[in-house]
Amino acid sequence: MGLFLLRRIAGLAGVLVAMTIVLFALQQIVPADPARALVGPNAPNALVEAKRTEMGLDRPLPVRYWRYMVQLSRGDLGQSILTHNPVTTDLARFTPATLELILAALVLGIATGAAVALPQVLSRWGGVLRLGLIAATSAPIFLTGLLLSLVFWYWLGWLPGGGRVSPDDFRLGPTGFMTLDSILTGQPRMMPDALAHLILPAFTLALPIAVAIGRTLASSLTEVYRQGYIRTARAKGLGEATVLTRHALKNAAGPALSMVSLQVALIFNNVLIVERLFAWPGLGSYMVQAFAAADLPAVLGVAFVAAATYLVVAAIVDILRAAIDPRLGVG
Amino acid sequence: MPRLEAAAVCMLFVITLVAFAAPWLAPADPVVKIGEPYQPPSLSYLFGTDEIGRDMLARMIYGVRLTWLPSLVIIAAGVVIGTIVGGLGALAGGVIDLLLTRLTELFIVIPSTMIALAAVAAIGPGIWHTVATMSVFWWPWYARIVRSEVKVVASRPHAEAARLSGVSGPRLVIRYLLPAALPSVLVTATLDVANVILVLSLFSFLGLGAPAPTPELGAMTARSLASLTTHWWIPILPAVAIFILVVTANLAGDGLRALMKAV
Amino acid sequence: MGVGKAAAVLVAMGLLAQAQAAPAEKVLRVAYDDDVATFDPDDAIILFGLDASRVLYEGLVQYRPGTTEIAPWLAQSWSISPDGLTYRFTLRDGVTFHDGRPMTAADVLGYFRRRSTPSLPLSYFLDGVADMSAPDPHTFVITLKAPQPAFLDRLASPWAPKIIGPGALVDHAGGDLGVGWLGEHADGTGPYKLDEFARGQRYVLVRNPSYWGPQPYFDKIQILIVPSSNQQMLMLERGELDIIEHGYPFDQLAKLPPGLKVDAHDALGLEMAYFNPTKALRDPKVRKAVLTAINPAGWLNDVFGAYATPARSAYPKAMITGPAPVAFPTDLAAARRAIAAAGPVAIEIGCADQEGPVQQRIAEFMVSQLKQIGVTATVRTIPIDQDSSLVNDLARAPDIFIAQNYPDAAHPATQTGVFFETGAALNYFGYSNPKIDAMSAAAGQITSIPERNQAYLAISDLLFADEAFIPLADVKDVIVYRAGLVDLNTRPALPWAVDYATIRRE
Repeated sequence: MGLFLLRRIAGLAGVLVAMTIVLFALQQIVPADPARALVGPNAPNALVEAKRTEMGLDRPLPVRYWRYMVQLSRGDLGQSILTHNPVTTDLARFTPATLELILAALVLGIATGAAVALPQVLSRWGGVLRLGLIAATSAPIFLTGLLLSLVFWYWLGWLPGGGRVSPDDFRLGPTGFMTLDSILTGQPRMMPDALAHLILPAFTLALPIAVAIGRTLASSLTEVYRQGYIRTARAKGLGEATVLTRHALKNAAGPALSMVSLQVALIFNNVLIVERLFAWPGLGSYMVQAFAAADLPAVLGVAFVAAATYLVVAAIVDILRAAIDPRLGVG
Repeated sequence: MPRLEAAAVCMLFVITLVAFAAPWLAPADPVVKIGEPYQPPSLSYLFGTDEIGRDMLARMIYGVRLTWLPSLVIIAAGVVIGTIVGGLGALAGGVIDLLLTRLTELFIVIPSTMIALAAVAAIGPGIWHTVATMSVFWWPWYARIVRSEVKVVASRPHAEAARLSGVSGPRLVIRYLLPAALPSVLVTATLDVANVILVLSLFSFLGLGAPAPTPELGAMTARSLASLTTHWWIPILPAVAIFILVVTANLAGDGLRALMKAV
Repeated sequence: MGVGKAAAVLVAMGLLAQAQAAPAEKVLRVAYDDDVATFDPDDAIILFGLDASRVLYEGLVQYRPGTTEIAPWLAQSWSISPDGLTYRFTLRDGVTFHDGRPMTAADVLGYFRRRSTPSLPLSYFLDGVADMSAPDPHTFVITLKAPQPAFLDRLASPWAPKIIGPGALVDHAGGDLGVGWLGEHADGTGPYKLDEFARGQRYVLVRNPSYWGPQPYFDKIQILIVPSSNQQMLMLERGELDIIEHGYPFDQLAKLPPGLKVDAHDALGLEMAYFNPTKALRDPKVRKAVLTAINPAGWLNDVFGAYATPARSAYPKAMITGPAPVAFPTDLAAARRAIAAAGPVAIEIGCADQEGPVQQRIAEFMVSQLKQIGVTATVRTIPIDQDSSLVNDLARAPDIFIAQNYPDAAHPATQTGVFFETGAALNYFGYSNPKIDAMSAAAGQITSIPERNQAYLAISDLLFADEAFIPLADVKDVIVYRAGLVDLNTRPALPWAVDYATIRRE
C-alpha cells in the first residue's frame, strides 16, 4: 500500500508538471503583449518596456519557465488584466459561489440518479425511462438550462432566473456560501431566498450527473441482480427491500461511485455555461469574462486550478478505492 | 437491432448528406438579410428570421454542416492517431510500448476539455483552432482500445499461423490485426460523435468557434440569449438541432453496440 | 388601579413611538452589465459607473444638465487671465471629504499633483499645465504652457480630475498613490459615500449627511451587477430595478411593459467606422464599393429604430451640428462591378467590445450588404484592452473597425485629440495627416464658437475625403426607468448616467 501511495503521488506530481509545461507553452504562443495589457493602452512605451523587464519577458525561454514555476510554487498566478487584482485574489473571491453550486448539483444529481436508476431496473417502465435518459443526456446543457429557465422562471414565475440572492436580502458573509452565511450573519430570511436561487442552476448542472449515475447504477444493478448471492438472499427469505439495500446496492455502488468522480471531473465545463446562463458570479462567469477580454492570466489561472483540483481529487478517490476494496488491486 | 436504433443509423447517413449538400439545400444565403428581422416561424420562413432578418432554416442547415463535418474530422483524426499510437505500441512492445502507454495515460488523465478551452481562448477563437486542439486531445481513448485489441489478436492462433507462414510486417498488421480492432473502434466512435458534438457546441456557445456571422449552432444560441423571452425561436431552435444530432448519434451508437454484442 | 394606569401609559408610549418610527429607507436600484474597473477617477476610463462616480467625487466645474454649458461645482467661480494662461478658481466653503476632513485649496493641489503623475492613465488631461498653486485656502490656480480654450471643458469631463481626499491619498497611499485602496473604497466630497463594494455582485452608495449641497432624495443607491440583459429587463418590469441606464434592446423600446418610461437624449456617442488602409481597402475603388455597401441607410432603422440619425459630420451632433447628413455613394451596381473587377475581396470587420450586441448587429448587417456586392466578410469582437494595440500590427488588424466612442468632453478639440490627430489614443489605425494636425491646433485656439465650428467642420470634410474615418450615426443615449421617477437630469457629455444627486420619486 505504501508503495502504491508513493507511486500514485509521484504520478500526480508528474502530470501536474506536464500541465504547467502545456500552460506555459500556451502563454508563449499568444500574440498579445502581456506587459502592454497590464500597463494599459495609453501608457508611454518606456513604461511598457520597464514592465517587460520587470516581468522578465526579455529573458531566454528556460529562464522564463523557471520563473513561472517559482511563481507557481509561491501561489502566484499573475495579475488579471481585467480586474487588476492578483488572479489568486479573484479566485478566492469567486470560488465559494462555484463550490456551493457544485455541491448542490452533486447532491441533487446523486439523489436523482439513484431515484431514476431503481425504477428502471425494478419496474416495467424501464424501457421508456431508458429512452428518457438518452434524451436527457443528449441535450446540450444550455438547452436544458434555457428550457428550465423559460418554464420555471418566465412562464410560471416560481423560481428566480438568475443571481444568487435577491438584492434586498444580500449580506456579505464569512464563508461565501449564501446558504450558510444567512445563518452566520443573522439574516435567516436570506436562506430560503438563496436556496430558491440555487435550485435552477444546480438542477441544470445536476441533470447530466443524474443521467450518468442513473445509467451506470441501472446497468450495474442489473448485473448484480443476476448474481448468485441475490438468489441465495431471496431464498433465505429476506424481503426485497433488504435484498436491495444490504446486498445489491453495496455491490453495485462501486462503478456508480467511479462515475461520480468522473462526473466531478467533467463538471467544470458545464459550470462555465450554467454560470453564464444564470448570472451566477462564480469561477465560471469569471472565466467566461476572461475569454471575452483575452485576459490570459485569468484564463490560464482558472484552468490550472480547476485541472489541478480535478487531478488531486481523482488521485484521492483512487487511493480511497484501493484502500477500501483490495479486490481492485494496487498499482 | 431494435427499430428505433436502426432508424437512428439511417438518420446518420441522412445528416451526413444534408451536411455535404447544404449549399444546395439551403433556401437562402445564411449571411444575407432576406426579410424583416424577428419574423416568427411561418409558411414563408419555416423557422422564422433572426435579428438581422436572415433565414433561420438556411442558417440551421449550414449550422448542422458546421457541427457535423468538424465532428467527423475530429473523430477521424482521433481514430487515425489513436490507431497508430496504439497499434505501434502493441506491436513494438518493450520501451516504445511503455513510453507510448505513459503518453496515452497522460492525455487521458489531464482534463482535456478544460485545457483545450484554455488553449483556444489563448490562441484565439476560430473553427480550425478548435478542431485542431480537440483532435490533439481526442485520440488517447482510441489508442487504448486499439492497443488492447491488437495485443489480444496478436496472441491468437490464426495470427500466429499467419506469421509462421511468412506474412509479416505491414501486411500482417493491415489484414489481420487492425480489422480485429475495428468493431470496438466503430462502436466507440459512433458513441463518441455525440460527445464531440456536445463539446463543439460548448466551445461555440462560449464564443470560441468560428467568427460571426458563421451560423454555428451553439454560437447562434449564445448570441441571441437576450431574445429568449421575446423571440424564442432564435436561441431555442439551434439548441434543439444539436439535441437531435446528439440523440441520433447516441441511439445509433447504442444500436451498433447491441449489434456487436450479438455477433 | 396603578398597574392599569401604568400599562395604559406604556401602551400609549408604544403607539406614539410607532407613529414616530422612521419612514422606510428610500433606495434606488440600478444595474450594471459588468464590474467597473475602479471608481478611482484617475486610474481608468469607465463607462458604466459614471453615475456613481459623479456623486462620490466632484470636480472643479461640471456641465449644466441637458446642455454643454459649463457650470460651477467645487469651484464656485473662476477667472481666466487675458492671455488665456492662468485659471484662478475660487473654491466653495464648507466642503468636507467623506471622512469628515474639510477641503482646502492645499488638498485640491495635492490631488491635482497626484492626477498629473505620468504613471496614471488619465494624467494626460493635465498635459498642458505649467504650474499649479494654492495661494490661500480658498483659491486654486493653474497656469498653462499655452492657451487651451478647451481646458474648462476638460475639467468638466466625466473623466476630469475630481478631488480625492488626503484620507485616501496620504493615509492609504500604500506605495501606489492609493490606487489599490481606491479600487474598493472612495474618499470624495460628493453627496454619496461608498458603503459597500462587492466585486462581481453589488455596490452600495449611502447618503453623505455632511454634504455641502442639498441632500439627495434617496438614502441609498444599490448597484447590482447583472450581466444578463434579459434578467435586467425582467427585474425592471417586476420593480426589482428602478432604472436601466444602458443596453435596453432598441427593438423593445416601442413595446415597453406598462409602468416603464423612456428618456432618450442626444449624447456624444458617435457610431463610426475606421478603415485600415494597409490591406484589402488599399484600393480606392474597393473602398468606394465598400462605402456603398455599409451605408447606414441600409441598417440604421433596423438596428436603432427611431433612436439614431445618420451622422452629419465627424463630430456628434450635440457637439457640432453639421449642415447635412454625410453623403455615401449609392450606386450598388457600380459597386458590384468594382468588386468583380478587383478579384475576390474578403474583409474582416472588427467591432468594439463595450457595446457588444449592438456593434455585432451592425457588423452583421454590414456583412449582409457586403455579400450583396460580392465581398465576403467576417466579424471579430476586439476586447477593450486590445483595440488600442491594433495600430501596432496593422497586417493582423481587421479591415474595418466599428465602435461607438465618446470624446472626453463637449469641446471639439477633445474629439480631434482623441480620434483624428497623429498618435491619438483612439486613432485605431494610425492615421496621420500633418494638415489635419495643423488645422486642429489652429481650430483649438479659436474662442468664437461659430468660427471654431466652421474650422472643425473643414477638418471633418477632409477626413471623409481621405476615407479613414467614416461617421455613421448619432445614437441617442436611452434610459428606461419606472414611472414616478423625475429629475433624471441627464447630460449629453455624461454617457449612460442619470444624476443621482437630483433624481427623486414623486
